[in-house]
Amino acid sequence: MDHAEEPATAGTTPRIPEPLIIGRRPMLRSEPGALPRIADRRPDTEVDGADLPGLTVRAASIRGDAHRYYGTVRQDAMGLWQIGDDRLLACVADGLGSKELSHVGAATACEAAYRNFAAFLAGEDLSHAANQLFENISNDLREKAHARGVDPGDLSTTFLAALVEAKADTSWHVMLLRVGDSSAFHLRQGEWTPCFPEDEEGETGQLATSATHALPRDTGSVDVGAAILNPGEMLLLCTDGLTRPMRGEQVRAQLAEWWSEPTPPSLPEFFWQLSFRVKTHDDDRTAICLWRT
Amino acid sequence: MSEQVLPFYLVCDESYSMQGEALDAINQELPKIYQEIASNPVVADRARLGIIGFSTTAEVLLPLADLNELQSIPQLTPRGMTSYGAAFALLRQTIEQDIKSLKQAGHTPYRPTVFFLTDGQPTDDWHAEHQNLISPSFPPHPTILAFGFGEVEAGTLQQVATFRAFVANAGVQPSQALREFAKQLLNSVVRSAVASSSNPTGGATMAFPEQATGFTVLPADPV
Repeated sequence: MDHAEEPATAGTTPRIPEPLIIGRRPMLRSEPGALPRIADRRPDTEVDGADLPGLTVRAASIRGDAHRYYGTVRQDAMGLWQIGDDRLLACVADGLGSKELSHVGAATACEAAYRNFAAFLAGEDLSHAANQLFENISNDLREKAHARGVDPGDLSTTFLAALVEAKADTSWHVMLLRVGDSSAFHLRQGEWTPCFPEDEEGETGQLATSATHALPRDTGSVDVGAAILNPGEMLLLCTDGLTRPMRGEQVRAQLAEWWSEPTPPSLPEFFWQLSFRVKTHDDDRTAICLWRT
Repeated sequence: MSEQVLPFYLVCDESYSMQGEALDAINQELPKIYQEIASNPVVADRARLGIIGFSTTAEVLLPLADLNELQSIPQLTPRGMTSYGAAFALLRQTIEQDIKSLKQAGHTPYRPTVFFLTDGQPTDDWHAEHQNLISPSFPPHPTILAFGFGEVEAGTLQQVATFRAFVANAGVQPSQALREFAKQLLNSVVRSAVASSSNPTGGATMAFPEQATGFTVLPADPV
């Protein structure tokens, strides 16, 4: 997809193409359907971004085509905050499909991470601080559930946070913490590398499964990962709505191609790119891309 | 490429006793099942349904089909005795090949679900073939739901099933039982497809029938 070289002028507006289909054409269409008929409905998509010294961020959380078809709410959420002068906190969350208020859980978890981050940073021991952070997030979820008179399990969500330490002229360290099946990948010279050791295994002879840990229940199942971000490299955080289609070689190659360009995409272009379609991969999809420029 | 596929198999008795009302009902219901699946694109994209008929021997009447590529739906015909062993042997072979092909094509298959339907006791010794099919050493071993009416004994169905067995109640007409069976098969396909399109809790992706009108539900009791 070519970048527009000049701003559009009257009579020469380019048309935006349909999202790219990778593989066979899905029978399921990619368009919003009914609006979710709930008081705390969320919009179809959130798009966010930042251009900071040495760092470009593009982020989007997109309602899945299945949710669009059924008129049900997007259950993914994300958060992006600058902390102090040289830290960035990014998080993604995936509310469990079978849980009625998990969209509230996912959004709450992201906000709770930000609220509790000062305490995390003040912690002495990483392992202890990480577990405490997830306990705090879970407590916030339980409080919210209690306030609404529902079981805390109804707000169940996976959660992944990344803390980027942006110190000039050095390799940037990224700390990754998660409960559940959201993932982080490092893009370097067109190659994707998983950041969590647990994600490194190749496709085994096993069949697919959808089991995942989630908050507030599984605070004892925290994975810790790390990455180093050097100039020209990118870190991707995503929910499994993106991890699953990325199991396909064609998808990995296309994303690597788009996201290895000398300049990161604009916000509209990023939203278009992330809207690519793969048959059967119709879940909510959330991605935060962090380019070190 | 890298599609998440839900494989379902209908394994249906085609013995002489099924002739008439029973097979007529199934033959009427099958096109409706496919139509319903096709009408829901979330389901149609990911569910594949294959059909194996068994009597004295077993045959693949419809290979595991993607709704996009389906030409026509076969009719079941009454043709012999009731060899469960032939059914299980063919089913194991078919599942093994189908899962292998799906993976070779780069797709991600879920564990197959089998809807087994019979109206009578087996006329052979089938336990070895059944064991080969359900053994954990066969990686894609399926989840089997066994439905029965007519002369089949509840205990037999419980041995065939790995998850649940459904025995038609006395006095329920075969056509009624078959229509209910078809409805349960369709529901399971649709709900499993919906469930697998977003994160369910604790791994329960597949949706299996919990009860069926006119049937008594029994736990599985594989030997």
